[in-house]
Amino acid sequence: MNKSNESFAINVSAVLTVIIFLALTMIAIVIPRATERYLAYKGMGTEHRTLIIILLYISDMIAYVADIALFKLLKDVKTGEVFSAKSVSKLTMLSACCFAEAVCYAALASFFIFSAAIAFAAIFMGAVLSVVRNVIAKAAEIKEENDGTI
Amino acid sequence: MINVNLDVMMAKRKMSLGELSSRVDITAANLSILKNNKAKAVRLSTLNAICKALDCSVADILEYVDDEEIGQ
Repeated sequence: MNKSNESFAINVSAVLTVIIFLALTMIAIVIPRATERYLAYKGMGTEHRTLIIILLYISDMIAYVADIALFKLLKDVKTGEVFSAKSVSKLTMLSACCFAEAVCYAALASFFIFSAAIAFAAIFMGAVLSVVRNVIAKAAEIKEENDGTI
Repeated sequence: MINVNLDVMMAKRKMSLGELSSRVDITAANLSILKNNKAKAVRLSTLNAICKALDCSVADILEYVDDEEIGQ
């Protein structure tokens, strides 16, 4: 993979994270209205409306944190700082965000059954990122040893 | 711990870091890391090149010191 392809791939990923950031902002704006419309469409009562909105906002905030961590990770990749403690901490944050999202959507599953599937997907993604984090941590250790070898 | 006495040998042979660097084909920065005991590992090829350049043995460059003795 030559340098221009690498650079292009990183830039595409960066653009995606920015698009996600904007999408999350739009979602934050429409959450209350969308929740009310959905509850009305499903014929569900509004007694749990506030709880649902709070859970969705918490989920949105967690997604913001994950998106920022992703963007910072891409910056590190661009500067060549891949196998470092900084990257490991960002991957740990991403994994934690996935598990936190799983908790939010598991709580929402009692209102929307499809949330259970989202919760499972989030747990799976969290597990994958946890493994990747361990791989990068080991790589960082090996790199540090190698860098210190004269 | 292992002490690197590279500066001692360099002084004995009246060789500067820059000169040693050019002789062993290792950057002065890396030699400085080695000299200041900051290196984590040394390749045998590196030791070979240094000993050849300084006309000395490995024992002249590397010295084992018991950690307890350092504490005392």
